[in-house]
Amino acid sequence: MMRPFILPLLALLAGAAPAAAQTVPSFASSGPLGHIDAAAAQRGFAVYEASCAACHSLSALHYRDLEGLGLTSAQVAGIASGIKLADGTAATPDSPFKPATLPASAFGGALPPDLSSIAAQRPGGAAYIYAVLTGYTPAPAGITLMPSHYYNSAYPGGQIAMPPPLHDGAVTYADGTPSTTAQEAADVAEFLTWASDPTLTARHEIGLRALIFFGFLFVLALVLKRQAWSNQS
Amino acid sequence: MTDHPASSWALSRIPGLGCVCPCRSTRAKGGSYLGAVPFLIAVTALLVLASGVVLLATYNARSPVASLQILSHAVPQGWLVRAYHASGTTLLAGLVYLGLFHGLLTRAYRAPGEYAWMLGVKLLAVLLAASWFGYVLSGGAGGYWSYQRAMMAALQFHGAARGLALWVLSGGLPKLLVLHLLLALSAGLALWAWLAARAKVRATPPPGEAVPFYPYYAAQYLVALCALGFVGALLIGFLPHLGMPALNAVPGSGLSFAANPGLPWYLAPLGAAAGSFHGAWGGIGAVIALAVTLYAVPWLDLAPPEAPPSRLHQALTWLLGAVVVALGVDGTMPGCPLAPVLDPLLTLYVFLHFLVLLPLVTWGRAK
Amino acid sequence: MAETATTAEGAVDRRDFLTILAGAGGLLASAAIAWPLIDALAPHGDAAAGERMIVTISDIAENSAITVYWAGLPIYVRKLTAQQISANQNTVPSTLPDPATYAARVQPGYESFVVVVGLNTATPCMLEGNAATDPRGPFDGWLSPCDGSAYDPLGRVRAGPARRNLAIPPYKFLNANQIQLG
Repeated sequence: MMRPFILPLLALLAGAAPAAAQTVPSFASSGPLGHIDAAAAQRGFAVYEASCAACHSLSALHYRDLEGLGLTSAQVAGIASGIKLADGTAATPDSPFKPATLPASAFGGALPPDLSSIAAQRPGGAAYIYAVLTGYTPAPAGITLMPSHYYNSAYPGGQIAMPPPLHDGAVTYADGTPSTTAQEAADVAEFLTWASDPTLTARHEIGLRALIFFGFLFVLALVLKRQAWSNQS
Repeated sequence: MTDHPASSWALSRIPGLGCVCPCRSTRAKGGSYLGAVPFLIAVTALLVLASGVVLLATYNARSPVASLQILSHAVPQGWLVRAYHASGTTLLAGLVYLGLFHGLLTRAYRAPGEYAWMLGVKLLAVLLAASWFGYVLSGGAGGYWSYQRAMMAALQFHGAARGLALWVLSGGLPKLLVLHLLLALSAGLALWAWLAARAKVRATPPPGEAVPFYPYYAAQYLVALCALGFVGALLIGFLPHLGMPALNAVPGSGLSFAANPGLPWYLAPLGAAAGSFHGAWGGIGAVIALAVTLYAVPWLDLAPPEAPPSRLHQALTWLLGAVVVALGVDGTMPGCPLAPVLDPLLTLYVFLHFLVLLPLVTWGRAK
Repeated sequence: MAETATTAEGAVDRRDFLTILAGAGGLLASAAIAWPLIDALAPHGDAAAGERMIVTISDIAENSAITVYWAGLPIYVRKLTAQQISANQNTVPSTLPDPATYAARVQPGYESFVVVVGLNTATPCMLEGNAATDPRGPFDGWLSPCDGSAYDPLGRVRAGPARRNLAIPPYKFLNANQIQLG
């Protein structure tokens, strides 16, 4: 019973975990004025469908939400009609994303988390997702992997139950971008950032506009106040 | 503006409005910007109440996470309404803390302002209670585990206390939503009473030293309002989760466990103080003792009402402010190794300040 | 002396202008802050999805009707016979209690389908005439069992206490086999 807890602890003590050797690309969505890169997020949706959707649900999204990524309603209807739901019918734009079909027992009891707000839940957000997806390496000497676990330098504890989900050419991008593992990881990280914070772009834009407006009004009010008080005190 | 027939007609006919609405009053010259804090509190409270009412149209206490996801994905401007409520609460709590601190610094609690001071303390207490229920209602793991800990504490009680604690806490989120609404309503009433009491005891300045509210203080309040809007835009646009434990982004369930879930920053000082005392009555006893102590401040200050606070008194008040901030910082960092040592010391200092240092430093001036 | 007066006047003018500008800015900010609170109460994606409903109409035989429930209302979808069409096409609207042309009651291209709310417009009760065994009244349409109001196959009132035609719900043809309500 104790073994599963002791092993990652030993791994941590040995200093094998988070090596952080990878170079993480810069994401359009990061930073105070970041925005969602719609093209990258659309590619990321393709990666999600091809490589993640079988095990990870995305319960907060409906197919119609993809219009928020710049797809037309006809394109969304086309995507939805290509997805067979559990009852055999095709999805419509108003259907929620199809739930995961693989049972948790497929991964030795490790439950694949719902990805609806994974970018908000994990410290580091998109950069963490990218690091985990590209962090698979052979286990260093001296590390004994738990049954059905894989070595991942970015995952806390270093041992992850998720098999490497991405590989070069796992998906063919509609826009012709070469689908390397790194590209796929970056795109799906952007897509999942959008999924957990679909109003990120609007929030930054509105916030900036409001800051400028209130800054202007503040200066105006200050001048007004100085003038009003100029004949007093 | 001040003498518009319609406004004076209305003001003379609605009891209480005249003392809350500042537009007809005169003030002493040279008031600081901090004098606008109660007004800013009222504006922010209106925004928090209005956004809370709109949230009720989508929020479902039986499936909180799913309904909030509908809010942020499907409802037009739904994310903004939620941000108003969350960031508005942060602003509101910050302003009430600031207002009370300003009251301590300027001895605003001295006679005849005792009752206004007590209403201010009551406002803080009701506001923090309402915000804790709101934190639990968000359905995040932080709120979930905070609620579980409160339940576990309630089960340690016996007799009537246990019955009361379970009456408050049991029944799931739909019941907690009712309590949240009742507390929000109480906070609104406490705010009204506080503003009215403050207006009633405000000293009337001598004619040569007085200026009408409009245009002098109206312009000053506008500056303060713009600063509030600026800070609000900063919070909503760029720091939407400021002071909220990161764990609260995870849906709350028995599967997402944390030994110490943390609290939003405005509850953190209280949480740290409560966590410093052990046993069934330790935490709740500390909170009740703090509230009673704050209520009693007008009588713990022994200096005559008209005396300005001494330099030492002011320095001690600043130190108290720093101690409360330290308690809050400690409370927002779950698992901080210093917390078990630091929290009881800081909490004891807060009691020491009010019960020992404040009477001592003001005693000499009483003669 | 005159110069000072002008300067003072100019200062007052400038202050008035600044007051108006600040007041307008404050109003704009208040409106912009209040707008999301109002907009959030508008119909939204999820609610709209609940209000949309797709009905398959290819199974409806000529001279028969089906009943579906949409937004809590009974919706009657009826397929007309060629004889019913010709009988009603040439009715002069001005002779009807609530004048309406044939074209106003159906959608272009799908003239044989009538979609109406099956509630009598006087005493609100569900109309009879969908089932083969139901009485249809003297105009071969629908008959109210409550007050005897009679409607033609297009849902236009012809007789009885009712004075208004049956309401038409918002719907559109997705294709020849399906309509979408809402």
